[in-house]
Amino acid sequence: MNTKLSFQNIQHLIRYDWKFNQKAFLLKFGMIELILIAVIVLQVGFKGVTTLGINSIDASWMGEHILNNSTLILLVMNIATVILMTRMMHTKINKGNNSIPYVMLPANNVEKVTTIHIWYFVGMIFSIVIYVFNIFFLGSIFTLIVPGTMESILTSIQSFFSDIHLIGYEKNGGLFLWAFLSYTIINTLLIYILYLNINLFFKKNPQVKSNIVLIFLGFGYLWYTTKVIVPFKENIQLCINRWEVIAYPLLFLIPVIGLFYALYYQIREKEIK
Amino acid sequence: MIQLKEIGYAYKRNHQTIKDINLELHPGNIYGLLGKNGVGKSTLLKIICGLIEPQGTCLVDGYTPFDRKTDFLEKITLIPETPVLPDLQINELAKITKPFYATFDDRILEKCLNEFEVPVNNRLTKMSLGQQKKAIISLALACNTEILIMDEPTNGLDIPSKSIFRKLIAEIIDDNKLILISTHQVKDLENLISSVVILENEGVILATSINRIEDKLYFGDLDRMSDPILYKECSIRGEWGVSINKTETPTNVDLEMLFNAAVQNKELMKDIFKAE
Repeated sequence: MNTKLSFQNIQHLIRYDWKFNQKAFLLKFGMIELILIAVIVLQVGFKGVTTLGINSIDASWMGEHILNNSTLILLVMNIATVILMTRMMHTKINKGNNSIPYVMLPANNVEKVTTIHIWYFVGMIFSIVIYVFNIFFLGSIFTLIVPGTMESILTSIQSFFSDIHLIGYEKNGGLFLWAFLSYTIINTLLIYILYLNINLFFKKNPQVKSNIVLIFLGFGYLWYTTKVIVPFKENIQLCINRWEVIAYPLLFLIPVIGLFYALYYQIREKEIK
Repeated sequence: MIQLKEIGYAYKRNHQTIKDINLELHPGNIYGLLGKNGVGKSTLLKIICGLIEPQGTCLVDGYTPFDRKTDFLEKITLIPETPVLPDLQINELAKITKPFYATFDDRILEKCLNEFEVPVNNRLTKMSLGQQKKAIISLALACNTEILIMDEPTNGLDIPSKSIFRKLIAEIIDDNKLILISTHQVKDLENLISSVVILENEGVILATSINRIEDKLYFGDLDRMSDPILYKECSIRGEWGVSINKTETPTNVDLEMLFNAAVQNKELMKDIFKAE
């Protein structure tokens, strides 16, 4: 394994990647975001009108629904990120002649894998930023229709963090946030690693077969998070012990190493036919 | 230097695309790689660039290409038949490519773009195929690497651009550089290449310098030829062909006739050009 790493090369690769993919990246994320906002607006609006009637919708009901929907959207965005980043990666290493410029760039495989990794995390952070943006954007929009919605959202967020119990510690929202985010990221990364390993397994036309597998995994992930996280969050009385606080960041390292390993072999063994 | 020993490659398990290729290519030369469709010209270029892993031994300047080491990749540039281009202007693409090549020369880029009259303010994706080709050839020449590999570079170029292409290639070659051009359009390479490699399904049937071909073969009027005649064709000028040169006077090599002669007389050609 050629492990000589040049951070300057990684920097150049990031710039190269961004210039090459910026339009696709922004367009696809923009489209996903628009669709998701439309879904939330329709869902919240439709649910409110049909279940409560226009006159009965109040700010707290509206705020709660925006928050719940936005949390679900975060999960969808995570999956979208996985798919988008995977496709961006495949443009480089899996799509026949399309990948020639990237493969022929004078940088070693470790540097190229590290760059793909960095892009993956950029995508993850981007999806979290969009999550926060959605809450505030939708909160502000619905405040115009139902005054007080934004305040209701902020109160919900505040109570969410203040109700967290950390065993042996005082209430600590920051630690919970770290645990919750790393938990989400771990799950997404695990899917990603599974995807890559399955991709390696199917040598013939890996793109098609592993995308089918990815879709199934995506549905499985959605089902899992809807069944486990959402009721979990609704009960809000979440307890985190000291072990978990240490274990989450440690667990976080396993998929990172696994991902790196899988990607490295993927890029090293790839033939551009 | 590029050394290929018993190189073979199969895209499908029981169908060998190329087999038993033995070849040595040296710096200071412009090689023309000729061959019929499907004999594996592009495959051979991909092997040299490290895009696919062959059977046999392939060494490029001492490196095994498929290892794709940074030092190796810095020495080689490939212009694929259909280049993949981002939605950028050529100068933007050059700006992000330049940091990877220590040898990158802005002056060469500017000169090539000017000579080819590439519309630098247009995005690459909005250009015609010919303009895209000219832009990407300019960028590849500006990388100024020791080895330049081109797959059908003149496809899509208009007649004046083909002349400019030949001029630029002739200007850039020096004793440290090796240029390998694969093409069907042999006329585009005339008066440009210094050596010819002709590939067939059975392997390399001819790999030699133009000077040596001029010495060994006669190209011209059928009346002035001596037996054996390796190839002949009727043209508006009368009957022309290729035979063994029994005079001391060299004639200009007609690449198209050379190719046809080589394909029709494989064994004889090998005998004529056997190492002396």
